[in-house]
Amino acid sequence: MKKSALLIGELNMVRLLADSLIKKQYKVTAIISDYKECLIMAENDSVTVINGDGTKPSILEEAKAQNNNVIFALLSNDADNLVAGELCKKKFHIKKVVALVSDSKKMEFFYKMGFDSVVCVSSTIMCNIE
Amino acid sequence: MKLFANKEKDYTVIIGCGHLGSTLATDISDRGRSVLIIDRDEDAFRKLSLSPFSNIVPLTGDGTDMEVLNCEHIDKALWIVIVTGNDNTNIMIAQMVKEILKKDCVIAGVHDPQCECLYHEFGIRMLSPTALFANEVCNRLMESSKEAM
Repeated sequence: MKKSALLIGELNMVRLLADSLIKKQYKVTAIISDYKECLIMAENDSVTVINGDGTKPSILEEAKAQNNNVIFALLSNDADNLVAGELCKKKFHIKKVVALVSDSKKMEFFYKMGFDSVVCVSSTIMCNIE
Repeated sequence: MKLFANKEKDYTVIIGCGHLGSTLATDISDRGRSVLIIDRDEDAFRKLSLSPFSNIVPLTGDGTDMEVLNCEHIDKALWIVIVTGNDNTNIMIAQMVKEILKKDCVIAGVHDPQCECLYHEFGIRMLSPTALFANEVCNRLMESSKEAM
């Protein structure tokens, strides 16, 4: 059976990751809050696009969040990624939740709250420099 | 910085100085209790009447910043009330205070009751201004329809 992934975020980030996941044979659903960005994303027939706030249970339900193997919370606000990820874990019982954080000091807190993987862009850049 | 050195266990911390936060700070101060109010926007404190007799101390800082939350004033506060204008921010700060600082005396405001399950899951006290308003209006409507009968 094909694996499924749910991506919550803005177009640029979602589009790049969606392409990679589709190449790896994933069925991809994307939740994007900006309607114009949704229309651009929907040009890719392989992606199911939902327009709305991915931090709301009703939108996650519409996106059939519970049917996914993994979710990626890729929003620009750490609090939004925390809430989206926690809802997916606690309410929709998704096994693997990955979140992006902008403040590296919050990485440990996200892991403590049950996230399976936390990615911080600034920390990753610093690791590469060092 | 020793803001409340003499009565260190008798003050409330409010995070968010919007309409709700500033009104609450003024009410608590009028009852003779001390308040430390935190907002990242210094201009937000203009809503407060900071007279020399006021018991309100404003502190400019980001309530989602671990360094701000880790300060001794938060640690020693009697109550921490989180009322920024963003529900998700309130949820995150409440969880940070509870899980990292291990403080139970947290009340968070949430406008959209959809995320209520996250409060229950983590044992955070939640108050919804939306639910309170709806409840009050409903009660008044019921009362007026009873009087009309």
